[in-house]
Amino acid sequence: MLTSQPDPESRSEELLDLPIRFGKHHSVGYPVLRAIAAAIELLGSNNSSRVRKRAEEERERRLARECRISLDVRLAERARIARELHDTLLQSFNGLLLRFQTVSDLLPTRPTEASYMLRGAIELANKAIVEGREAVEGLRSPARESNDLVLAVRSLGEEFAGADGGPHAAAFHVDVKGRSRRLRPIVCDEFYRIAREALLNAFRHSKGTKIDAEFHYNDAELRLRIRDNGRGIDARALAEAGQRGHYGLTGMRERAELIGGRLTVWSAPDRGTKIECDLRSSLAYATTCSASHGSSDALYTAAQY
Amino acid sequence: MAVDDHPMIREGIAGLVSAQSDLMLVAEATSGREAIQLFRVHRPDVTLMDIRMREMNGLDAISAIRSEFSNARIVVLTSYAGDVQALRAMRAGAQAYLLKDTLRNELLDTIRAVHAGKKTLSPEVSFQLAEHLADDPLTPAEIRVLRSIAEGNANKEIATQLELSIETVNGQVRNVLSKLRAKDRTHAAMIGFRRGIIEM
Repeated sequence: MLTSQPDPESRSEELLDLPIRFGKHHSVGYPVLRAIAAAIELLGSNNSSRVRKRAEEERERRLARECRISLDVRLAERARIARELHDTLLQSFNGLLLRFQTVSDLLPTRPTEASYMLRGAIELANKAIVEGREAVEGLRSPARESNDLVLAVRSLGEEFAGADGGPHAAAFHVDVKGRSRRLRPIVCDEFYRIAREALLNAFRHSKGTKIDAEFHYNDAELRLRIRDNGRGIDARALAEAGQRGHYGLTGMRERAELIGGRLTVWSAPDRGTKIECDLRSSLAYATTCSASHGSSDALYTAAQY
Repeated sequence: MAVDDHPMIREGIAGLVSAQSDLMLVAEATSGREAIQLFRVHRPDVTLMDIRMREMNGLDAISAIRSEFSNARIVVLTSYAGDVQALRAMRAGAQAYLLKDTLRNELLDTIRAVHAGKKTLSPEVSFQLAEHLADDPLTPAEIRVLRSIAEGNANKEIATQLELSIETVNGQVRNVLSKLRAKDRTHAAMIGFRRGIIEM
């Protein structure tokens, strides 16, 4: 990929090209002009090396800044994982330990109650495993591996649609608007997880017959929209669900905010639910040259944090 | 009364308590707000309170309950051994601070001790408290700076965020690092989380 600033080296290449373009001087002119060009290059070298040095320093600064940002994002992600473990899996284990303690206390004198408690504990252990599995699945995003968000969400939706063969089976449809582009890896991850949560809600709870995933790759922003035509939620229940973290709404919002995006939820009784996640293009799309040249896009991204 | 937003912890406590002839669970709440409402209704002898809950945290609920019922007896149940958080809980009016890992051995004795008017801490927490007893605590301003460091901000950004001069921020960051005996900013943030100075 070309940078917008012309490279000083390519200018001297142009000089060398001159005699070839003017054909008739070619045979005698070429070596002479090459010497002249070398002299010009030598005269200019003082200046151009300074330019190059400045560019190099600028590049190093940008790289350092980008590194710090990706480190911050990773730190935030680590804090999120720690929080999730504390809030779910570890609590379940602590709850289970209490159960086992109770069983052990009851066993000598009240064995019937103890055995009843033990059955309850087994149920709880089973729940903890499901919880743990979901947490682990949340950490792995197939979208990141391929950098193909649409494909990953499509396969996921089809899997959900196929698994739910009951009376409420819904038709799943994917729509892509705009030219699909490479996304920053973290954006791939978080959009995938948001889509997963929204699709899970739609397939599990909405009772809708039609579930759509729409991707808009605009110049200004990346937008994901998950829609169903199900029973919907009224405004009060929606606000409460948000506060209590039901339907993973808080999680989805946190994920959107982590990458600088915005999550919006619309819903009304019997009119379905629409969950939309928007992210500015400068934060969403990968800049293929950012690693080697520190493009202006990456710089803009840096300024946002 | 048991207050915790995690159902398995509540179920665990319910089982353990119900197996005791001298104890009875009178109510379960899932948030600080609900705890205040249910406290008014049931007036429990002892309240078991989680700290991190979505709708009003445990510390705020303890303060609110204690301001209304000055003799309320509250045991904090938490996953975090941080000395600073334990101190905050005891100042808010808690009588005991227990780690969730140790509940099965300590909960019943603690409930009875607190009911008898005693105060108690999990051993792990008391070790942490003892270790930092003689330390110079962070000022509220320094805690704000530490929180901003933990959010990944550079000094210049901290200055903008907290509306301070860059010189003030530089000085406060130096104080934070030296008071926490931290090697660098990341280390300071980690110590802050571990000791419960700032929330995760």
